[in-house]
Amino acid sequence: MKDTLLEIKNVKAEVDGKEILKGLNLTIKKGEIHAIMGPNGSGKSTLCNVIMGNPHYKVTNGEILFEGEDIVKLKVNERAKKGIFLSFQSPEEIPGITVDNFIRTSLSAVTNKNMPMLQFAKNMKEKMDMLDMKPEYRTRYLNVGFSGGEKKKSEILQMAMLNPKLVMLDEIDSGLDIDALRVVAETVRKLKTDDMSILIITHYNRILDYLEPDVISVLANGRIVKEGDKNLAKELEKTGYESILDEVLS
Amino acid sequence: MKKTIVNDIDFSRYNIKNEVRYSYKTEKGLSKKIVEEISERKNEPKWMRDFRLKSLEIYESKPMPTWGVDLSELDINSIVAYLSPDTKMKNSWDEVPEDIRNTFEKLGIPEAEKKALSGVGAQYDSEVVYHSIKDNLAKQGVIFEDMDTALKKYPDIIKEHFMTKNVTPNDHKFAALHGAIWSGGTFVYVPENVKVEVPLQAYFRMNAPGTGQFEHTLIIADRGSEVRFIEGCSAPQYAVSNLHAGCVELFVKEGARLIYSTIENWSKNTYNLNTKRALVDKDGVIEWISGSFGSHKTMLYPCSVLRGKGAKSEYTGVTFAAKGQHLDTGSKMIHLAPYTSSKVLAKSISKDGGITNYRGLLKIGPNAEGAKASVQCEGLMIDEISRSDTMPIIEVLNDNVDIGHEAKVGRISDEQIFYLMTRGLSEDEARSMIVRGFVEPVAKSLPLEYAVELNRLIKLELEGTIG
Amino acid sequence: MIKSLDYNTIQELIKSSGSEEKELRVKGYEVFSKVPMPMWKRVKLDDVHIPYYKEYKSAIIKNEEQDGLVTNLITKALMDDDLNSLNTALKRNFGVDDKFKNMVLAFYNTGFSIRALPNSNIKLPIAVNYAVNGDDDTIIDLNLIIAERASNMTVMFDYSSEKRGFHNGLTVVIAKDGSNVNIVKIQRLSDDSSNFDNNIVITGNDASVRWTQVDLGSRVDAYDITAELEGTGSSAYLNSIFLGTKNQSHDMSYKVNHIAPRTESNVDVKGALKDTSKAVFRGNLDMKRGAKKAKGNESEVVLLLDKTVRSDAIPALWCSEDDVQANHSASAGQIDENKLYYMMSRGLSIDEAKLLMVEASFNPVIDTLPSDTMRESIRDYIGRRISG
Repeated sequence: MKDTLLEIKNVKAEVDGKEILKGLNLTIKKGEIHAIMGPNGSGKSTLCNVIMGNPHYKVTNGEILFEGEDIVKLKVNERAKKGIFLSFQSPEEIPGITVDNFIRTSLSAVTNKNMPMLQFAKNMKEKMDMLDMKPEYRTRYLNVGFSGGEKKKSEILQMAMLNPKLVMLDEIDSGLDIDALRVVAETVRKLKTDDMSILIITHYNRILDYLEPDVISVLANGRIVKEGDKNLAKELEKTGYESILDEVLS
Repeated sequence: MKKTIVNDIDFSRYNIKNEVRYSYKTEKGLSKKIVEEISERKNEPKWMRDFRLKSLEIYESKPMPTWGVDLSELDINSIVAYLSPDTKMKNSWDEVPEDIRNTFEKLGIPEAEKKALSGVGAQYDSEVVYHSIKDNLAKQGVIFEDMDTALKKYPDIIKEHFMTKNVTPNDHKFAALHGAIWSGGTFVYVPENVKVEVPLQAYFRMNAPGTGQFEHTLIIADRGSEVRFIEGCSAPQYAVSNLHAGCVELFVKEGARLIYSTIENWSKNTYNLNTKRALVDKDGVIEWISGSFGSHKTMLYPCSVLRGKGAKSEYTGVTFAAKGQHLDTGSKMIHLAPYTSSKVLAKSISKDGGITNYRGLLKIGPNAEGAKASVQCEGLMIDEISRSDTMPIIEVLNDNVDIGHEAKVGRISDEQIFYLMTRGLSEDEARSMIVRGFVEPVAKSLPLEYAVELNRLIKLELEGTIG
Repeated sequence: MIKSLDYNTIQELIKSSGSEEKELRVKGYEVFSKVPMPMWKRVKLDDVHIPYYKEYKSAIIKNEEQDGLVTNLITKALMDDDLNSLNTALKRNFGVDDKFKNMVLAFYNTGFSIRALPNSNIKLPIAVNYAVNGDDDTIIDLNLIIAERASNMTVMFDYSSEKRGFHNGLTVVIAKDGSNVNIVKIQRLSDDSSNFDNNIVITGNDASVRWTQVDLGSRVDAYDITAELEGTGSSAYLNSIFLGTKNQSHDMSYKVNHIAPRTESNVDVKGALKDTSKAVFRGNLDMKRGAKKAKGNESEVVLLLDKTVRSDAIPALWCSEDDVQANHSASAGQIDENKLYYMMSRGLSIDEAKLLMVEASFNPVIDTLPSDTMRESIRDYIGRRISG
């Protein structure tokens, strides 16, 4: 289908010899905001890592089609160049490399062009203002000594500058206070275009109050077991995951 | 500004038959006769000739050191000490070994400079640059001269300071060797309260003969002065004798500040056994910035003797050992006076079986009340066949001190690489970026063009494209 | 009976022993007699005399009769199993010095072999006391501690004396797969005694050894604790406190060799030096090639209480494996001025404040000692030495 961005077909994946995804099927349309919810250990982080191509995770079955192309054999940076972006739950610290330097290099790698300095500075300022980030952050070493909230903002700043087609937010609401969550979510919403899809992995679903999903899928036991619209979130809050599992297993 | 010294190409290595082009070449091996010849050729005053001979005696009486790198393959007696006073560094560009030419390319050294730096062509127009800088300095009373010339122009001050109170031939075998056959080098004197704006680079006295392996650098920063000196460069330096036994003596007088930067990239067949020491007086500051890349084996321990109250020393260094290299480096901080402070940041990278050792000494003497010292060592191992060892010795003889030492070793984590790859960098680019981040504290202390070179050099080292 | 440490004495000692024991002593003597007394740069051995051989009869052991525990006085007989274990350990590189190590192998006059059988959980700590008692002042102990698969036990050694004595010992700890061993060694010999101790720990898969060393006495004290982590997933936690007062000299060596993957270690040394005492801390953390995902940490903190002390540290870190985390730190300094001021504003004198700070530094280790009386007695001892 023309408006399908990502199609995961019957994917099985394992890490450290243990199978986590047990035949997962998922479709994300262009411009869609798609939330994945599920109990801990169900494979939510694994899903992100598998889409991004983390070499620690082995795909043992199935296809991952991004814009119609199977990307299972592509390396991580090749997937980034295709427009896939992952906002990490605990981003790495890279001492000695400034935020500025890092984003410039990444941008250049992904777009294959060198953005002129002035334009880059202008863009950075614009995006940092949106995120309520002080300009000093540009010269700080990437994520070194950043608080949880600052790290998440740093991730979204990168997303803002790279302008990807698929944005995966891995538990972005964990560790953020209400205000920071609001700022981050609103920024994501403002930056979203019709060509950008957002995959939100969430356990607490607070973020769904700010980023209203078009589709909610429930991941349990390594598979998508239920799909619904934004109301599914409220339902789950009331009944918990137990009831879904019962429903599915019965 | 980059510099390459191609001192003497051992043509036999490349099977090129040529007449001996040099006007003078000492016979193989060391002897009294040779040392006398060297002194005579340079027209030195008698006291220097005597000094050389005495050093030779001391050299012969000392055994080879049994610690540090393996020196068993170093045959000192087969050194062809190239010390002619009137050699011009003229070779044909085609005769410069291909890997050197390639490295020049990759380091982006401009065409004209390449030729000059590799000894091709006549006096380069650096002469012009050199002269104008010299003139400016002269106005301030700063002396910046090559050592051979300085010996004749300023005999009193040289005699007083040359290997007398700082490094002496008695210190160890290679200091004695140096004392006997030293040649060339730099003499800098900065008068009281003069602040030298421009960093002085050894490069500028390139037209002095006999440069390279046995240079002697003597810098006296008089009270309240400030000066910055840059030794070495990132382009490969070739030496026929595979031994570099240089010596650096620094005198930082009361309230003076001296920054001494070095990037060493001796060719991969060299034994680099250098002796560097700074004597720091009251409130004086010495900063060492050091990048060690090349050489087959290196033993290098810049030493700071903090003998005046409030003296300070800082050492920031990065050592990168690749295949076949064993770089044993470190710093020595000796606190002899009260309220002295020292700080060491030593980073090392090992790859492809390269070995790096950090060997440091931190000594707090009984009179060093209120001394503060910190040492931080970090080792980065790029793969699983290399080695990184840290052997610091800390001796404290006073209680009113604050000392800390930390060392850690690790590798580039998979998680870091993965993270960078998710932002579009290839695996190699990711590694390269992480390593650059790792050496950043050294890079940022260097003048811009050196920092750029440093980064390029690292990239080349990581790719394995250097010699 | 007083005899020299010579060939004749060896011959007498092996007259009534089994062939393996003979071999042990004779081989030990061969090395002992060839090797000269070491010349150490930092801790001088000038007033340490090679002792005479004497029998030692004052060894006391408590709680040695428990289910699952087999204990043996080594001078009575050396079991085959014990000898085998001993020989395995002797192949490794450990000990203060070959002279001292082999002195024990040749001339040991006391010692215990303590073995916890597979899967046994030895509830009560086994307490061994070697004290100088009248003329019984030469303690050359050879101890063998073996924790069979999945067993748990705690063994405490207390070396004590009121008058001058000589101690040189060798202790081998073998923690087999899945076992947990807790060793505590307290050294509080008199101020004119000499103490030497050679220790080695070898771990099997998933075994864990905890070693607590409390070093308070002796004029000259030199010991080595070497941990060979050769079992995958095994770990060694070495915690130590040392106190130097008057003219004591402590030379403490910790070697942790990470040989197998996923091994973990932590060496935590806290010391305090007063008067003209000296200490040398030698920390060797070695990540051998193949020790993937190993984690090693060593740290030493010394409180300097007088101008005239001397503290040396050689915290070496050796690494041949890239997939590890290894950290090392050493620091020395006075008591924090702000803390001192705060305590004094609450009425404490400088000396009382110093004592409090030393206690604060040492308490985390003292608290782990398995016996109430032991803890009391050590706190007492430290209090007296610091205020005295």
